[in-house]
Amino acid sequence: MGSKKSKENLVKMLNIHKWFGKVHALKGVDFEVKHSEIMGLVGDNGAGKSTLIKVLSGFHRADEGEIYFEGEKISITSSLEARRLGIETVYQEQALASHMSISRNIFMGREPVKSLGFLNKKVMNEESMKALESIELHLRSPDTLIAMLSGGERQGVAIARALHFKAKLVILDEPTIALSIKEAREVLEFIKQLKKEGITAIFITHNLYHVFPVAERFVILNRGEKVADVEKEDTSIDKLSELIVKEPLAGETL
Amino acid sequence: MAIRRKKIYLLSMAILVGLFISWVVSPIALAVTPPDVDPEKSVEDMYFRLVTHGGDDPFWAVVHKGMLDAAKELGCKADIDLCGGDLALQQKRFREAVAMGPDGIAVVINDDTAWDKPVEDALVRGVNVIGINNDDKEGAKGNARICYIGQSERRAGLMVARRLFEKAKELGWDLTKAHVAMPVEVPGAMYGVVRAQGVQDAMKEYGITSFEIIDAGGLEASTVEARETSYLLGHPETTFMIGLGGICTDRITDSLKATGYGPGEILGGGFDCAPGTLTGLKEEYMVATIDQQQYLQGYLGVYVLYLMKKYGFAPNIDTGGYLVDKETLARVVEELSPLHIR
Amino acid sequence: MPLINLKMSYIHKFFSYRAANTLIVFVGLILFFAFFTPRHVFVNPRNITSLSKLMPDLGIVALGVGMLMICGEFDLSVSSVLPLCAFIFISLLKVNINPSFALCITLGSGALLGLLNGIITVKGRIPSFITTLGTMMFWRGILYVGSHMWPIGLRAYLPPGSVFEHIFVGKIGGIPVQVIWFIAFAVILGIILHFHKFGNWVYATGDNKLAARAMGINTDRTKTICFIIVGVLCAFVGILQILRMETFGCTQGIGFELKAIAASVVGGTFLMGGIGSMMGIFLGAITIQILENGLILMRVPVFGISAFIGLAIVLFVILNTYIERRRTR
Repeated sequence: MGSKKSKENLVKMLNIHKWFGKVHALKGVDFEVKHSEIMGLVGDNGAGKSTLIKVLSGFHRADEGEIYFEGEKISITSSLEARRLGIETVYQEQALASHMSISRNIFMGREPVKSLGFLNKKVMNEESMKALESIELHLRSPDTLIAMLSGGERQGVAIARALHFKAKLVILDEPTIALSIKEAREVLEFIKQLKKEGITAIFITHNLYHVFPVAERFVILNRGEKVADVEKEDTSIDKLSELIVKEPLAGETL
Repeated sequence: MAIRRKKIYLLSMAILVGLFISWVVSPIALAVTPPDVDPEKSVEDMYFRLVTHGGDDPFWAVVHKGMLDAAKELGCKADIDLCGGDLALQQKRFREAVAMGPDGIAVVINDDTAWDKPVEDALVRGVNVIGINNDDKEGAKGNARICYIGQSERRAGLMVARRLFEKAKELGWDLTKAHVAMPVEVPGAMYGVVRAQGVQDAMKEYGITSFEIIDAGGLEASTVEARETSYLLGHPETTFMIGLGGICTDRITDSLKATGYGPGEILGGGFDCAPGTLTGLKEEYMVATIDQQQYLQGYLGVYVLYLMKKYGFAPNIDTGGYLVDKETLARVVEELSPLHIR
Repeated sequence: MPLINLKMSYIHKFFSYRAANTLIVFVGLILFFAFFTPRHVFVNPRNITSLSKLMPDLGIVALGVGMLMICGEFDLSVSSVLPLCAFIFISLLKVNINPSFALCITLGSGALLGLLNGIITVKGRIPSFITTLGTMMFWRGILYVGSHMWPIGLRAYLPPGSVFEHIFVGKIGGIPVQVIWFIAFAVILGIILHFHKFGNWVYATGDNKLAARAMGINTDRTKTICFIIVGVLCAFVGILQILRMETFGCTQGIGFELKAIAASVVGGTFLMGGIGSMMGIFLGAITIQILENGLILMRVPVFGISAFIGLAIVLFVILNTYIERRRTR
């Protein structure tokens, strides 16, 4: 298992095209994620980063192109299938049910049960506390409602959930958007913990100041095209921001 | 064919004669517009329509049945509109019925002004219109309908209340301390208001002053029973309970039992012959109920419209106020109720 | 220190319990009526018996409707499904079918009617408010045509005193069996809702459908199953009412659709879904009926009673919203 893993990239997307009607949202994007790396996927609003990630998480289907996961060619048709492969997506607003407890959220849809489908609350509570602690998120009780948590803590719960279910790839879709500075810093700490656990993550954002300290590599999209793919050592925030806003040749807009 | 028509003719004459003998015929049957008569028209080609406000009520099922039976006997066609108390809808149905050019329409006149013009217009267009079930307060003076078939609700309320009070008098009760509870399904609906007035007329005759009209909470039987029971428990001064509608009357017996009253401790009465009411009469929780004989409203509605078209008859007929008590129960109601005639 | 913590946690737990406010109001109402009704007639055994005989009718329906509301959907068709199932039941007895078998068929019909509501809602992607408004009218029309609106007496087809009848409307030690059914249904549905994984799906579906779906919950199936539960409960109550009143009437269940929603809301269920508890719905269903009963016993003019009930429902919702907001702040 180990040898194959180290040779191949975890995810490889080749020549991905996506049209929405007449809008060409992705124009032949090549995209790779290595094992156990935190990769920053950066771009301005409408650059195509969400579309690309939705293709990977089974929400959209690519019109053209190939996707490889752990070296095997796959076609992802639903988010359920993506999850089965080990791809977890942490969406901004779609991740948690706010009037349910932490443990019920973490095990939503994958409840540990005793006989006849009854919830094993003991396991749920213990495991969810363990999952939270693994990303250094210390909350009082697994029965706390999500609505009582701060925005940062909520993201933490969603990340802990991905971690608990041994996701191979965690996609963080704008995890710091709409958060206060303090909360955003919390979330960045969770992401660092993710790396310690050896989990691969794609961090999507348009905020370079959030992604730069945690990611090791950056892919920049601009108007549906990949304009850069650089290691952190070879670049700086200033260089990256230039690439993000650079006006490409006249083309269609999103 | 001819034999059959003769039979029908004889039958209808027999009924009319019977009606003249047994029922009061209004002396002021002044039809302003003479009915449209066509003696040549075959009964098979005739079409009549009943436009009613009825709906969520077994009551109207019996009217419907009467209409169907009459149409079957005569060999004509007839339909009924049930509008669920929606006056606007009923008026729309009426206009539609007029536009179809039927040989006659029987309409429930449940508003004193809203029906004045529609009925006149229909008569001008040569469609015979009669009233059934409910009439204009001023009768023929208030509405141009050619005649009316139905019961006087006020008189019916008076009759049933009188029977209850008379029974109490026989038992030697002090009527000055009596309290009359009157549950009604739909507060404010015409039937309840007018029947309650009839009950109050009787109260005056017997010197009873204390009464309350109870909002029984609609047509749903559990709600009605819950409210009647609660009322009886909370108002031990109650001596009479008179249901102003069929469902309220039906639930009185069970409510009395639930409250712990024995037969005859509180006198019950009301309207219609629903199964619970009949049980109450048998077990003597109920003293009397008014059978509206609404079958006749449907049945005679069709027959009168037929005779009107054929010969120009225009009788006013009071179908109501048949007082059912324990004695008349078996003979009159129990045999016919299962057939949906009572 | 640990003792204080323990105490605090109990108090905290009680107030974090969703039905806590309904329970407080419920107990308050009972005490109020017990003390202030003339001659304490509220706690008179006759009143209690009468309440426990009549309350389950609406109560059992409300349990299902409330659970469906937690799932984020409405069912207005209960007021037509109930009498339609009752009609099916008595029609089966009419053609000499064994009562137990007729019971099974009727409950099955209720399930089918619920399934239909569910399928139309999730496949047609329309609000269940509209779906069930449509089916409410449709089935009522079918019922009127089918039954000719004639009441049908039970006694011609089922002699009194049968065991079958005792199971549904008899008495055990002076307690009407109906109330035992009501409690049994509340306990069963409560266990499913709070301790079974299906309950977790119900909450998740009602709270955040997108999240539930992203986490692999089949929200369409969850909703449909809730609709089926409502249908079965309606069928059950339809039969219960026939056996109690010894007659089928086509006005059975009229008005239940909104009263069941009111009961659920009083019990702390939110109209948008995702919030509520079986205990709350159970207490809510009792509370609105006790309120009516108590007010009449207090000799409030019965003509104006609707005003009090309307006021109470609105106050309850304001209270629930306020407490929920406090809790999640």
